Amino acid sequence: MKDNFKDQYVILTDFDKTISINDVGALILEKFAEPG
Amino acid sequence: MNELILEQKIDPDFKNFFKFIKNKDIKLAIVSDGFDFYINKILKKYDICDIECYCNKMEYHPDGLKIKFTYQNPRCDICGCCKSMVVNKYLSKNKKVVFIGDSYGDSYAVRISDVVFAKDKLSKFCKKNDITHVEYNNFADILSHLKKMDFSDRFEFINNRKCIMIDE
Repeated sequence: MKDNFKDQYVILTDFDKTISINDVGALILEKFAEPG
Repeated sequence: MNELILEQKIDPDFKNFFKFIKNKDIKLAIVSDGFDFYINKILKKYDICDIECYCNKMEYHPDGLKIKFTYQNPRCDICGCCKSMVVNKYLSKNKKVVFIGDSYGDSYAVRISDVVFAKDKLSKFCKKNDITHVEYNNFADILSHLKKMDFSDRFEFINNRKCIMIDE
C-alpha cells in the first residue's frame, strides 16, 4: 500500500449490523422503549 | 440494559481490520444513527479505542435521559446523524472517503463517497441506483480488498469520485 494512503483517505464505517452483528439500537428500543 | 449491551458480539474480523488500519496510520471513524452509550461500551469490551464516533448521544441528567442529535443536518430531519454531512466534511478537506455500510440510512452517503463497501439493503440500493460498490459479507472481505489496494493500477477514478475495482 502506498505511503500516501493515510493522508489521502479516511474510512467511515457504520456500526449496527456492520461492526456489531446485531442492530443493537433496534434491540434496545424493542426491549426497553415504552409503548407510545 | 447493560447486560444486553455487553452480550453483543462484533464481526470477528473487525479487530484484524482495526489493527491493520491502525498500523497503517489510516484514519477510521464510525458514522452511525445509533447511540454513543452502547457503541462505546461494546467497543470497550473488545478493547477497541481511539475511534472517532459520529453518532447520536444520550446523556444522563437528574431530570431524566436527554438525547442529542449532534450531527443532524439542520436542513433535513430524516436522520439523527447525517452521514452524508460527515462524508462531505472529509471531501471538503480533499480526502477520499471509503464508506462501509449495510442499510438505507447509508444511501445518501454512498452517492458521494469515493469507494463503497456495501452489503444487504445497501448493496441492493447500490445495484438499483447504479452506484459502484464492492459487495462484502464481513470485515475479512473488506480487509482482503484493502490489502490489495494499489492506487496506481487497481483503481480507476471517474470525475475524481467513483472508484472501480479492476479485476473483480
